[in-house]
Amino acid sequence: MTCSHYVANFSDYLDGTAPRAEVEAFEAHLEGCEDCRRYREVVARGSALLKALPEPQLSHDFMPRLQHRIYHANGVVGLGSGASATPAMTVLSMAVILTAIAWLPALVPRAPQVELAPIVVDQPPADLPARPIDALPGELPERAPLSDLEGGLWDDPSGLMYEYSPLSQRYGQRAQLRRTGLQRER
Amino acid sequence: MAKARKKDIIELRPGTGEAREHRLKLRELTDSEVVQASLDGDSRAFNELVRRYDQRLLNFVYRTIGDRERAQDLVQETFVRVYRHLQRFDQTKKFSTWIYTIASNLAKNELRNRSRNPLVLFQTIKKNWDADHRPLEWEDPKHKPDDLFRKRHLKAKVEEAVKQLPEHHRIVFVLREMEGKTYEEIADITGCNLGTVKSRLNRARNNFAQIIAPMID
Repeated sequence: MTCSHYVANFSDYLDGTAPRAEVEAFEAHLEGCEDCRRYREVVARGSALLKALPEPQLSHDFMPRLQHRIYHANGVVGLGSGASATPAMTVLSMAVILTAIAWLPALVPRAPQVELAPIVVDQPPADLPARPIDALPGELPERAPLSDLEGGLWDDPSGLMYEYSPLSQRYGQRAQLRRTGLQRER
Repeated sequence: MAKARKKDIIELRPGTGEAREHRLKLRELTDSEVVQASLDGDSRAFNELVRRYDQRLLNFVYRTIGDRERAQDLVQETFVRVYRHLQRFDQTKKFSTWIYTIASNLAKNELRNRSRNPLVLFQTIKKNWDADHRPLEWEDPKHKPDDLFRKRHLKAKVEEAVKQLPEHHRIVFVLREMEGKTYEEIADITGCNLGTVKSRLNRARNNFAQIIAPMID
């Protein structure tokens, strides 16, 4: 027997599961091999030291905590066996309530419908005087003056808004050129 | 049935003469008889099972995962699972094998969860591969430290040697060396065949001897 064979099959020898013939071969090899004898001694002493190690101690609250867990585990077992359907009904009813809340806006109209009176136009738009094309800036067509109650700053659409816009400046210059004849010459 | 068992647990009152006598009677029963008593509704019977296996399972799980607090949690989890599934236990089999199987699976899951880190996982896989494929040899290349250091740190070194074993070797080694399980029981607990158990145990002993040899005269 070689040392490799001895080490590879050592557990069978140590635990007594090797056949009788194999055991004799092991012991014959040990008589002549110091390394393998040391190996057996190290394993045996190591095993003895392991068994002599102090065991970890259970904490003082191990049993109460275990009873607490078993108490609650019993409740879970009860649910599985159908002994009580209360938790399932509670969950189901909560699901129905949440679904109803989620779909409520779709079922209820958002805002009350308010009917407003229709806007009726019974008079044609006012016929405003057109501004002549060659009118100078500041020249406004003659029109009947508006009373204080009727008149206002923005009532005359061809008035002040146009007067001070860039367009009026451009058209005013063109009108001036036309009057002086410079545009024809150009 | 579940509600009746719940009531029994609440009513447990240690310390009375009758309860003490009942507990003493339970201690004389075999595991199978205690299991049957528990299934028949005797809450003290389950407590007897806890009393028989709590310390042993703690020792086994602690030596496997190396963390005492976590080992206690896993032992409690083992008993909870036993309690919940006791009615499904095949009473023709050994109860100790069954409870150790549950504890072993929980310990293995714990070790697996710890090694989720990719680097740790790679190192674990490499270590396990080396442990299985390196040729077995016996050689003491290290010089021996002085005697005082050896004696002072021998126990710590022995504990450390167990922790250094690859996980699948460590479980087999602890079950054999510390729990005294047979090869067949270890095969049932770990779900391996007999040849694998022998191979892993042999390699575990070889690794263990290599680590502690410098400390032993």
